[in-house]
Amino acid sequence: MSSDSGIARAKGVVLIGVDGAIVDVEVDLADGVVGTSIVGLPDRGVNEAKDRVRAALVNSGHRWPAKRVTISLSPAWIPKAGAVTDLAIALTMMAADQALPLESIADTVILGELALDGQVRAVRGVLPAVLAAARAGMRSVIVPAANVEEAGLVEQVRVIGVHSLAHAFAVLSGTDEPATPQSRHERSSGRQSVAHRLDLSEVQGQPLAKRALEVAAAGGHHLLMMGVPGAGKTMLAERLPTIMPALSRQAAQEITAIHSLDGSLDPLHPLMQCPPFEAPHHTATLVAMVGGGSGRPQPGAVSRAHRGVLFLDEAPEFARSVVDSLREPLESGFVRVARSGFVAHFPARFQLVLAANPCPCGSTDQRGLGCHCTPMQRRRYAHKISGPLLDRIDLVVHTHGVDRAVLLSDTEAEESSATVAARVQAAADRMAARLKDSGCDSNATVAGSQLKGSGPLAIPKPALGWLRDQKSVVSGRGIDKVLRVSWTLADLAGRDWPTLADVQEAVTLRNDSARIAP
Amino acid sequence: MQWNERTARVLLAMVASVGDSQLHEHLNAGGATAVVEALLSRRSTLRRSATYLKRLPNDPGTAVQQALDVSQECRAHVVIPGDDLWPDALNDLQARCPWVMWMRGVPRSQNVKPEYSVAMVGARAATNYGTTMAHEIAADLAGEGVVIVSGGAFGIDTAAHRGALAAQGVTIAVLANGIDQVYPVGNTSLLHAVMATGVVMTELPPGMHPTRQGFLARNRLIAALGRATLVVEAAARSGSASTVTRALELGRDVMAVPGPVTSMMSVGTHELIRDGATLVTSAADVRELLNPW
Repeated sequence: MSSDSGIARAKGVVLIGVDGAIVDVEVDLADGVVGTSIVGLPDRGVNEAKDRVRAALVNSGHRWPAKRVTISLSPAWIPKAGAVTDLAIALTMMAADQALPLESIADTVILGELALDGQVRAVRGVLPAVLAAARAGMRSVIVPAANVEEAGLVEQVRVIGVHSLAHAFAVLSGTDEPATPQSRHERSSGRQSVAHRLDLSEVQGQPLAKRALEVAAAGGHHLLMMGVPGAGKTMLAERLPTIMPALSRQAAQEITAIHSLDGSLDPLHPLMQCPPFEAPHHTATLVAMVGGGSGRPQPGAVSRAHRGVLFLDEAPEFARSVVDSLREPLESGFVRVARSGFVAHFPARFQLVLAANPCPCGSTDQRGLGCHCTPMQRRRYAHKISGPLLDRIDLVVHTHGVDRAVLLSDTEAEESSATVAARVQAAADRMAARLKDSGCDSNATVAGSQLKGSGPLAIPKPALGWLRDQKSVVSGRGIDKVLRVSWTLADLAGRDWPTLADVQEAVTLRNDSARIAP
Repeated sequence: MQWNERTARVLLAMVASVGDSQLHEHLNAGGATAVVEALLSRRSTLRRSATYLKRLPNDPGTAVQQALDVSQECRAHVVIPGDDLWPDALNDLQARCPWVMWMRGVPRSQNVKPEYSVAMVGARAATNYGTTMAHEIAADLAGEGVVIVSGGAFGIDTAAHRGALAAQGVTIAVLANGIDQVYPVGNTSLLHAVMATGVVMTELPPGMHPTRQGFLARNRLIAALGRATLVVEAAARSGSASTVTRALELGRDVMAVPGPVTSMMSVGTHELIRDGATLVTSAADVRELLNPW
């Protein structure tokens, strides 16, 4: 391809969910009627690029060629959205107009939105885009300077940060230095999550609920907390991320990629190193919960809670359809949002914590003395959490309002998150070692059949026999849940097998008896 | 229509108030036929006769015949005092005794006039603990031949019936609506299961829908049919309280199952125990009270 023909190429990325697809950006300058067209399924935002790019080029001291300009984004079947291809179009245009050498941009992925004065603006979704570039074998990326730290999380790719179109031109011409990420050592010291400002020691009393949190964190069990308003359900749930096992580098990158899509990352310390905590309000819509929306599908709360905690306060107040939509991600660990022509995947492997009041009026009296709900209102409220969802919940605890004796006692005695997290980490390591070859990734996902009989995960006979005799306390379906929790209790205690005492404790951590019967 | 004791009592069930002691005396003295004939010919000396005349259907004879036809269609027995099937325990209600009872299912005399019976009542919004206890106690008692008596509501009522059925025992559901109706609709299959081996009964004529007053009146029948009344779970304000009051008026024993003191569904039973109800934790405790020897 000779430069005389007026064609130049570069690469950009469009995101489908958290997966990026490489698109070729081509600019052709031809003789004929002067004008500009963009082809290749552009949306309104991409079509507006003509005007942004023209202004940015002119205001950066370059010219917009008086030619017939055709800008093609291919493959044509992928819908292109937003302004993220602005910089790629501008630089390709300059190459086509022979202001830049063609090879300076040929194998580079270019991301960035242009302001009219030529400034390069930060964009969303840089990490998933750069990950896609790395997977496609690209060696370097040009990104907005504000996004260099995020792009730098991908180790295999050279990151070139640019402040403006003029800066990009200078960098590509070899007359200026790009903005680059700080060294990885410095970057990893940043801890940005709110969770780290919270500590379990701030919760007074509630020994049973705290134990349930520890067990939930160690074994990946979903948890239901029942209790009157003000009994500390939210406070407890918010602190679950502070005791969960440390995230692997890959897990941290996964959640950072998701949070990159909604622009919620800290530009200086983008890597999310502790499990996220998502608490959607009970008026949340289906789309807000599982993701989707018009235009480019956005991740929902379940995906923002990926490898972290999804907390539904006042769970019975959520729309039935919204709560039921959790069943697919709970089962598969991801969400699929179908659009005409493509399906967006979002990871959604989260730990579910539900909180519910005993009755819809929210009376704060433990014994319901101030409550004016009718029995049928109470039954309806209790049964709004559907059976299939409850089937996934291994731990049920009741929190009581904290009494004066606890409030007056010495707060120093409360365990810190760090202490509990150390026990959880040790238990999680034991669990991982045992489950290595089982096809399960946590005690919570071990199949019921593996827990009985004689396999490596079967509970010893005497403990199982005792449990089967507790018919009035544990239903048939409850047995598997109790057995799964028993394994986690053994892991926390550093034992190779659950004992009868572990099974008995697991029964108390699945206190179903005070829930309104079906 | 040529009135007889049965058709006359069906008409009274349509018009007369529960607890009209003067009517009760007239029935004992001269029978229902005379009472109805006097009423229809405007010669009645009942203080409430004006009210009853207002409640009369346009054509009393046809209305009664229709009620009997509907009863026959749904295979309901129309039972009056003196019949083999009349539950004598209801006579303890005296002036508040029902005028007539409709019965569906297997109304044998050992079912409706059992040696031992226990009324089991409690919360509709019962907890898993409460329904488990009701189920267990009802199954153990029914398995030994004790007849269980309850309403048809969700929660404790349902659990008690299910327990009795699980033990292949006999259970009686007393409804607050006509025998041709099922309420609550969600318990249709349960009530049909009760009919398969036990009895569903009501004092209300076919076509009647449940009302608040109807439920309260029905509770006296449950209290009377049980030799003792057992409350499994009850909140601070509870319909079980009215059944307990009726049972105490009848001189029946009242028992209650305790629960966690922190549970709102056990506040009512704990109050009963403080007021002198017998604390029971199992069917054995109930048996001890029914038959101390």
